[in-house]
Amino acid sequence: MSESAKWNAAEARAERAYLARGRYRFRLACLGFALAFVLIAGRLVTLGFIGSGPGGGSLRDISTTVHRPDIVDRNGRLLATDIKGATLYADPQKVIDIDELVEQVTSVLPDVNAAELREKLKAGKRFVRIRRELTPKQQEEIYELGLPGLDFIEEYRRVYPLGATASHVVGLVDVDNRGLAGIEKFVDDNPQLTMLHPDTPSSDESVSLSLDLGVQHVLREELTRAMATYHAKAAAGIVMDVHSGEVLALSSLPDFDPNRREQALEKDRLNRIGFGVYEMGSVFKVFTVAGVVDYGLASMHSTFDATGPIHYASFTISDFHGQHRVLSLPEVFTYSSNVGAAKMALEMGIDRHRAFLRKLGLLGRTPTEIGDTAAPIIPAHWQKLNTMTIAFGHGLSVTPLQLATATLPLVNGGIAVTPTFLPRSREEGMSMGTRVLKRQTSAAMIKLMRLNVLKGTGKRANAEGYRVGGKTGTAEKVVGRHYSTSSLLTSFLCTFPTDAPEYLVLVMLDEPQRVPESSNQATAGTNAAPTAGKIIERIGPILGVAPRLPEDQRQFDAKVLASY
Amino acid sequence: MLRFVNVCLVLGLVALAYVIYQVKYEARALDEEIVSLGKQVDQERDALAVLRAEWSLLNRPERIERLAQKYLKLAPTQPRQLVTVDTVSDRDFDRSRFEITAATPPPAATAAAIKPAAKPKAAIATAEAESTTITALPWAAKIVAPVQASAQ
Repeated sequence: MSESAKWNAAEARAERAYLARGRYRFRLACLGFALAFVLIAGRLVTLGFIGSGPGGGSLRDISTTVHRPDIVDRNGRLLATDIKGATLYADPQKVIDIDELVEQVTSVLPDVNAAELREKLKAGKRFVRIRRELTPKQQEEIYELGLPGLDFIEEYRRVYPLGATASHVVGLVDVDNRGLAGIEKFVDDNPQLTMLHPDTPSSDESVSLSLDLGVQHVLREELTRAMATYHAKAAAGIVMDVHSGEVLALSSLPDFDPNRREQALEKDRLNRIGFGVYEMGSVFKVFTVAGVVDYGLASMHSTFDATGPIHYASFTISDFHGQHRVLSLPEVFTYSSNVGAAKMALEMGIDRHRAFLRKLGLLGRTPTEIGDTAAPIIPAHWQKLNTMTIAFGHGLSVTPLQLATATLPLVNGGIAVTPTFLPRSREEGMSMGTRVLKRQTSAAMIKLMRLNVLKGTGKRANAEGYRVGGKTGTAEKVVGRHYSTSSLLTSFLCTFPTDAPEYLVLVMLDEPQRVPESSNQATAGTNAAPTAGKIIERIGPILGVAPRLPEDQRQFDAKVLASY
Repeated sequence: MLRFVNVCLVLGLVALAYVIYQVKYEARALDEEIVSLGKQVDQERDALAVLRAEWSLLNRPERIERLAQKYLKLAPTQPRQLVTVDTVSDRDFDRSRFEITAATPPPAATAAAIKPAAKPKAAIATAEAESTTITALPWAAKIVAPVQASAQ
């Protein structure tokens, strides 16, 4: 009994302890759960307060377009930059009512084609781009419509604040901000470029060019004016540094506004300087004369018989400014005698003539940053007749850029330099270049060119004080199958200042008409030459070329000075 | 004794936990600040790009030329207006000084002449406000927005 009672008591004690332990565990578990719930509730409360956090909003920061470096001119003036703009798109799967969406969107963006948009939305893709390049106001209006399924992406957009001014060099980009032409394309192909250039104030990358915006503007403006004055179909011009080979300005009219990229596709707006090939006419005589002088076949005192035209096979070569007598070498140049030039070339012979032109780079493509120039059109069988006509610029078509580049050694002391659109120092240009002419040849050519402006066909290019020297060229264009006497291509190739040439200017006018301003003439001396003269008059001060007047005019006039 | 140490340790633990909690939250706030500042920098940079484009647009040579022709009585420098010092003799110099002083109008006239010059400035401002060339561009509206944003 006592034993069983004792056992019972022990059992009861154990049971009580067990129950107590169970209650304790139960409480612990309750506490644990309560804590967990409090934690979850607290987290919910904090999430509720924070909301979706910073960065929430409708604008997604995924740009589909790449950020491009700025393009600046040699003095750091902006030519092209990137600006952020929103693109509107729709996700058809999230759209509730397609018709309502189309109606509302077109009310804000009237230029969106409603039918087309409806079609695209019904096609059921996940991404339908509605409109690129929204203005902030339009973006806000769309946002306020509050339609589900519409969203924005921020994209970079290229803008060219200067419009068409330097469009042929700078080039343009496609809708995805990829370079299509010009320097823009070059930058894409050469991403290391941006490392060579200092960052802009806003620490963006930039690429600087050899262009000078001031010179570029003057060139374009004067060409525009010339095109209007002489009723020309097109006009083109280039300004180069004769020592470094830098292109300081390049303009080809009509040109295009890179902000309206559809214009660039029009064929008439091509870059005539780099990608158009032309028979340049008499300006080619500079190469013929340089050739005979450099080969030592003629000196300044040599004479050439130009009494009558040359008859060769069924062709006749005659002079425009015919003198009908024996001409000295400078006279052949200043009277622009075709007969004289043809005879010079014959003295050189076909092989040497061709070799000379090849040495100057006129028989192949010239590579540049904005693409290789168009290939010259060379006669398939270079005969005696070809040499005779090429001597005065017919029968060989080259790009004006090649013509300008080939003239550089004629005026810079005989060094051939490659043209460039990126900055290059004169020392670098001279040390990189190869000698192709004797120094004396270059000196003689400069003298001849100056003489031609003082006494010959280029008189109207004589910009006061800037000592211009140059050669006119009037080429007859091939219309149908014959050379036309009314469709002309006039050009003026010149350098200044002639006592120590620094810059080269080439102006070309396509089909200028006989107007009173050009004394009812259509030759280069009456239209291209004065245009070049006006350009030099204005770019001389920009480029820091000191004007020097002849001794008799060079006197101190206090009144003129005082007026400024 | 052991109990006291234990209590101290527990208290220390609690204090440390609190400090760590505090620091973590501060760090998170700083992180958020970095993100928002980065965004602000980006925005400012974009605004700067817009303003530089605007600056470049307003400084187009043809526009400056047009305005100069309209408001300034200046003409391109002619070569005969430039002389180097070595070509000027002392006599020339004395003569020029005399001629300039003789040509200068009396002070009262100068003041009167200067006064109307203040006007064209306002004229430029109004002419620019009305100018269609700038506002016609699609991105022109954007130019105004960042300026207002930074003003706020």
